[in-house]
Amino acid sequence: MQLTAIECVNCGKLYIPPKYMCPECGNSEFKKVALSQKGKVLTYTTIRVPPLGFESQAPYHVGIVELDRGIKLTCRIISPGGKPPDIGDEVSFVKKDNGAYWFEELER
Amino acid sequence: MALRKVSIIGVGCTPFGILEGQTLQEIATVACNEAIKDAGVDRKQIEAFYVGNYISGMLLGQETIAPLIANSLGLNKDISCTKVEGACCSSSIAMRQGYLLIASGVYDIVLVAGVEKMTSAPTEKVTQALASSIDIETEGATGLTFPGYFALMAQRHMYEFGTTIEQMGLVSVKNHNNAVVNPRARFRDRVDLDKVMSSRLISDPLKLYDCCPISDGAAAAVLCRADMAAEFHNKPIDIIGSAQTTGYSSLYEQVSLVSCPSTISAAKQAFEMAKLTPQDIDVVELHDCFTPAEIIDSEDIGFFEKGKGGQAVEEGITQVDGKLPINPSGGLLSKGHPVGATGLGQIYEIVKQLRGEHENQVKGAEIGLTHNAGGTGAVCCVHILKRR
Repeated sequence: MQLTAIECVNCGKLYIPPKYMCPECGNSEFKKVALSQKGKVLTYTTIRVPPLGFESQAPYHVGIVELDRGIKLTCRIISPGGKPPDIGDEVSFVKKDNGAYWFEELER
Repeated sequence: MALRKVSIIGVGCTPFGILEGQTLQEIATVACNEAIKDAGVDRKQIEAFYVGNYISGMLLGQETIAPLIANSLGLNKDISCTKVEGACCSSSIAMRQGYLLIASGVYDIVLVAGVEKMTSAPTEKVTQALASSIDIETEGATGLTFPGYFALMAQRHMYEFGTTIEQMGLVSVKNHNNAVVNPRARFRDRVDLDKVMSSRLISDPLKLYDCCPISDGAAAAVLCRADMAAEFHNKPIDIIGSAQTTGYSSLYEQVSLVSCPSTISAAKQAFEMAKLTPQDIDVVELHDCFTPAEIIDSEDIGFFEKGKGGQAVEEGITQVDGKLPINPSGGLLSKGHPVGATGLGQIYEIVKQLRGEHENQVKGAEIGLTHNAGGTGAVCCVHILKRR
């Protein structure tokens, strides 16, 4: 699965979709841009008390990763052996499922 | 347009906690009635009513609560009664609406309130309802919760500035100990750092005692044109700063992961309006929904340099007898967090401080500040109050 962002054709600002217009310049035309599959963990947590609908998945890791051109994304992180990720760790995009992006941590 | 000056002439607040057997309508009525009596106004003199509420639609199936409460109080039928919503900031927005309508000359006397009834619903349902202020098209889809949101900020703050889990724990210890004498507080037992550190993990690194308790509660205030205030109350409290600003509905969209842009802008506006600086503030009630939030907020408001908030707690600066007492009421962490009522609950505590009537009195407090954030910092209100 390819990780994609959208870029405003007017001002060039990059966004994770959905965006219905460019909040930066007001333009509403975007083009799709393929991103590298790799990201870097900026922060993370392990959710042990989940909201309704996520009970069977807990505990699970949620993090914010930095992608190409400094764009950030909140996502689920799968880590080897269930060990929590660490800030600075490299992760790779796996899938988008029910609106959530999933990344997998590379072996440390 | 020149704004008229506005004062608070009456306040009311129920205990925050598990108010079993009491309905939303009941607790809102009790708090409003207390504020009206405290103000010494006739309820028929009230010209508008604003009430903040966040999740009664989702948890109780009860909406359109402004006329419901107004009718319970017997307010006039020819006035406007409106519910406002901005997640955990809802009742500060109600406060600001009342302020603006008096300041702009539309009304002279306005009742503002906040109410929430949360403890009768199961935790998963409450967690889901609270998370509804996170953008469900993006961040919400990951299963991120509110403790999770603040845990993400905490991890980054620890990484960038060396803030420690113990410093965050000390926020909890301080606020629990502050609440011991507050009869409105949900938790009134002293805790020590060991107790905080050994509590169970909720969202790493946050543990149970780093998180505020869901609560039931209501709070209210009567606002009045400043030049009329002394007719009603012998200790009117003037509103000298009022600001509401906007942040983001998801954390990843923020440039910085260690501060909240709406807090920075709201504090800046409120200080400019009051012609004051953070050094002029004697007592603070701020939005400590989780322990790292108190540290981050205290930096964003401008009390401490970015990254130094944890150290300030450790040095005792924010204790009730310190240089800058923060949350002498016990804060959200111990007084409790009935989300839609919290903002006016903070106003209640500061008004009592400035009148010199608080159970955990800051000696000689003349100027106080409230900071109330909603959702992912998507909304923020800051109010600055002064005694005459």
